[in-house]
Amino acid sequence: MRARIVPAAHIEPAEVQALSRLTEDRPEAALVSLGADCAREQSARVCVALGEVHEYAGEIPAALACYQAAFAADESSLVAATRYARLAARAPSAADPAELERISTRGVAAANWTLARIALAGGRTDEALLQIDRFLDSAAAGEPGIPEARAARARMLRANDDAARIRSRQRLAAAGIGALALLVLLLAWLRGKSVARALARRPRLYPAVARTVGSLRHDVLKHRASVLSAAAEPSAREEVARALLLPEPASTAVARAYERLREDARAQGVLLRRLSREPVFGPLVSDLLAAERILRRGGKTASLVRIDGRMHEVHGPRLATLLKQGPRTLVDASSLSDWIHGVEAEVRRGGAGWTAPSVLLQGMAVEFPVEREALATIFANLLRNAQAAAAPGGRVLVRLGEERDAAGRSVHVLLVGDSAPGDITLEEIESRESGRGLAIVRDLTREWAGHVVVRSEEPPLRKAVGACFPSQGASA
Amino acid sequence: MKPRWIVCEDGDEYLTRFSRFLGDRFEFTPASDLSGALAAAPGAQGLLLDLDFRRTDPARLVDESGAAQAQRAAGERARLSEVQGILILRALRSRGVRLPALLCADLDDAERTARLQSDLAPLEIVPGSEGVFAIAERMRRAAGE
Repeated sequence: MRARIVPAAHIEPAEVQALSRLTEDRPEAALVSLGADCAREQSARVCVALGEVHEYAGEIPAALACYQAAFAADESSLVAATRYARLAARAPSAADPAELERISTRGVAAANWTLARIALAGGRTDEALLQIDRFLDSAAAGEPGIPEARAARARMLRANDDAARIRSRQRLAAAGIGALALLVLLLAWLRGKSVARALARRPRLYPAVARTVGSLRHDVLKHRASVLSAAAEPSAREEVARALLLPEPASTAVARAYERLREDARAQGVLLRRLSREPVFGPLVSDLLAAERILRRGGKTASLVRIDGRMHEVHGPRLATLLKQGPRTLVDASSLSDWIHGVEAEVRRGGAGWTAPSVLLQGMAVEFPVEREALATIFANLLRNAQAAAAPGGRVLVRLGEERDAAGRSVHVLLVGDSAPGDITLEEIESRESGRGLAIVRDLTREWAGHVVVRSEEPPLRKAVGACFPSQGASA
Repeated sequence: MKPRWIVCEDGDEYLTRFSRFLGDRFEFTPASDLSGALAAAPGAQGLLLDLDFRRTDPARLVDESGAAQAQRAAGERARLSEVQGILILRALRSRGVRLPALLCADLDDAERTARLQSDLAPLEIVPGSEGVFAIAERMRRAAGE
């Protein structure tokens, strides 16, 4: 019945013989039975048989060659293709990828698995993953290699995730480093204070600022930049250029003055901004540079006129504003009393006699354009000097007030008088060695743009020594 | 005949600049101290003063009374030199010199400016950064041209 329904497969006698030899475990004899060489024109069947014998004998390259020959002889022979693909999976290095590709197009899933292994061995994970997916999609249940393919796929996906995470971390780290570098650059660029802010933080910087501003207003704005207004006259151009460029460009003079100020500030623990970022000095130099460039190379007169306008409408007022930002110390009866008690305690500790001073304070308080500590030091030295001079039973007078000098300036005056006989002159104070008593008064007063004064007093007092400080702002 | 102005300063910056730019309209006579200004005053149309005279020989600086002294303490010299232009003008006024005056100074104090212009009239305070032609216009006006 079976013979009627299923036609008997046609088996070549050589195959029968070969099978017989194989059962005797004599593959070489089996090969002889089949003709030994699948390269010669053989039928696909025989080639497959030869391949099986070679495979049995562990001769994988030869087996692959025979299966390949069988597939070439009959491209419809899925048996040969499947055998080739499966055997190649066991020895991917011996397989021909092109042949496998061809086989895979015929729907032989094993070819995809082999191609996946070849790609994996070559480190081409994306390609391997693609082939594994094709293999798993098309493989029949029970197809050899399915569990391994699944495991490899899971491994690759995990590795891909890990790699993606690492890449992400690396990108984040790189971005972080970049941002940090930018931040450092930005901070380096931004660091430092404007002169106005530095003054607010370190009032002792004021004398240096006042000197710098005063000299720039006098030497640069007044005597050099003011000629810019004449630039509109063509015949005057050369003269204007000379005034602005010689003996050195005005911009260089300003830049140098600012650098000196920066050094003074650094000595006091304050870092001033770079010149280009300083809101008062930077634009001034920038305008001067622009004017100098026009004068050197020739340019529009209108630009020079505009710069001239900025000199007295912008830069002059800005510099003047800086002069008004110095410290002010309000001295009233209470603070004066504290200072006096401080000196008294010190004098008594030294065992000297103490003469309680009378105080004449104009108004409720007097505001000095001087930093508090400097003013307190000046006062203490004046009072100590008067105490030392006044004999026991003598008189000491402290006088604070405001007056106008002959130049019309509002001047803040601090005087300490005594009844001691003998005069003192400004020359004597000038000639004293620095570091003690009235020499400290002299040096600090000068530092804060003030003047030491010696005045006569009405009896029973005789003289008063003190310091006068003009209001901030007046200069060039 | 060009109007003559006295230029009183401790250097020659103003004189050079004015002679160069305004020489065709004005004649300028230099004066470096009070005595020079006094000597040049007769026949002059006006007086232009700088404020700061720190380069002047200290012996020629005048004080509030208009007196010069050969010997002065360094602090006193500094005090006088930084407002010498005003002190010279004050001394000139006290000696009867009524020439219109321009004082080139950045005083930064409106009250002080007004007071000086009133006390030492006829006087105009000229901002230091003012250009030569603007100053020339002031000179022309001050001299009543």
